[in-house]
Amino acid sequence: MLEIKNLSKYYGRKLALDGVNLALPRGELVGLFGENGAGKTTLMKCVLGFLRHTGSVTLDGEPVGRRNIERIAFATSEHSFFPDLSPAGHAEFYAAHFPRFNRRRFDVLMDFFELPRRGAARKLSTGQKNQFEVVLALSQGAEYILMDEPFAGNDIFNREDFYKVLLGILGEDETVLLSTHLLEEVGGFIGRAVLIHKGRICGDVSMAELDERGESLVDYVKSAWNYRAERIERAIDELGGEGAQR
Amino acid sequence: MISFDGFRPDGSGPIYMQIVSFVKRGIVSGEIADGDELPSRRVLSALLGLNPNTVQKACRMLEEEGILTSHAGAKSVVSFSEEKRAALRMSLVAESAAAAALRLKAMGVSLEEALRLVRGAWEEDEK
Amino acid sequence: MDRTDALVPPGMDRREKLLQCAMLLALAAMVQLLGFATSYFAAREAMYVRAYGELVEREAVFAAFAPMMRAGDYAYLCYAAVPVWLLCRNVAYLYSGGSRAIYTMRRLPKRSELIVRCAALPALCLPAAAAARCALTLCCGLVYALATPDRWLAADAWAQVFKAAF
Repeated sequence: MLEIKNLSKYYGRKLALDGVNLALPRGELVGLFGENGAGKTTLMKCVLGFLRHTGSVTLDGEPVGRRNIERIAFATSEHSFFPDLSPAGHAEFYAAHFPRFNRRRFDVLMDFFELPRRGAARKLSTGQKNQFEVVLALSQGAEYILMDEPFAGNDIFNREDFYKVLLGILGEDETVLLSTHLLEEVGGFIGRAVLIHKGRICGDVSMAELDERGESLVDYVKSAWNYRAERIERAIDELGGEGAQR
Repeated sequence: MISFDGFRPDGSGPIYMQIVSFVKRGIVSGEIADGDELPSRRVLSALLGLNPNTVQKACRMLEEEGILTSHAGAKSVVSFSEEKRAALRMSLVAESAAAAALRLKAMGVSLEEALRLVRGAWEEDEK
Repeated sequence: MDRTDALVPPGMDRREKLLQCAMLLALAAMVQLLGFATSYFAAREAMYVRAYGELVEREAVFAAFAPMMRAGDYAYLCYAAVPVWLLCRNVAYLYSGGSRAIYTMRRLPKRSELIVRCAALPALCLPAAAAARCALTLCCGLVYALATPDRWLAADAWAQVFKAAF
């Protein structure tokens, strides 16, 4: 279980994350939704230890550190591969550094996406880079895979392929935290939706529960952010009032 | 192996219910025969792009209704008797009729007019 | 490109970087040698003076050794920019190419990997430069002490050489 307890992060005076509590049990596919600047990326970077923060992040009770960091993988739209190294070279590097690197899965995914093994990674197209980034994250041998808007720039057919490949290849014990804007697309894929707004968790529901309630994911998100709709209504009212007075 | 090529999720209820309906409709229409194999949970999940829990729920529901039997390994087989199929057909038919009736009623259509419309549409189709 | 060289960021060609550092060091060494050569021969010329149409030896002590090494010292000082440049280049690589490889480096189980791969070659530059300077200073010193006639040399010529070298 990956447990995030009371995580807060300041950028200078600005509070980017405000007492975030989140528990990710093994095997869950979790969608992380929030507007730009809500804190999705910051949250993942804190979990990975890239940023200083208060609060704790533990893996099965142990703080995330050198000994267990290999159990967490990361795929980001910013990309994290080595630009001048070929995919084959990456496999070699990963094999040397991540004890549970899954060579077979790497090969299967590379073949599925038809990605070249040779040539510098920077020479891949944007779509291929996204695919390669995900391939690395999935092959690392990690139990918790954090993906930060991994499909930015891929067309819809590509993205549907992604979801299906993930579903086909992930083991029962593998956990995915996927942050994305694409609410409608991802609703069938995830089992749980977590909403984050201005650094705070403002929603956390299982898809099964939404099913019971007959509520769609889009509706749930809208209602969680309801106060924003009210603000717009109020503003329109006030403007309309001005017009009526003239 | 049962094909899910024709499966089209819409907003008509929870996805797992739609999967169950799809299988039932397949049985009633004859496309799915007794003894046909269902793809494994993982394959089905990947094929449809759906969370494994959703698929699991659908399968469990089918099992509870006695339509699906799990065997050793990941194999699941559809099993139904002729009576069962007839019963399914009846319930699907009744559901369809009830849905149509309620929709018309909600639009303020009277019973006589509803019957007239149904007869008209039926005969139109036979031409 | 296909293999990862050790001691450099993954994807970088170690041989290419070593070659670059070596060539720049060779440049500094050349400056040192040329600087010595010019000041040495100038010093030799300075031991003579023209009188009545002829070259006559002066009653003077041969020029000190240390100033002959000055050009070289400046060159090596400039060379100190090379490890700094290389370190910056290595770190910048992890943020470039449309990627943030730094994210991968920072989540490796082997914490030292990031530092080693970025700083190894730059750290090698400094002792290499020091060794080159020392060796060449001794060579120049040999020439200075042995090729110059004994009557010209100051008494502590060898001491001067060793002092300049270390």
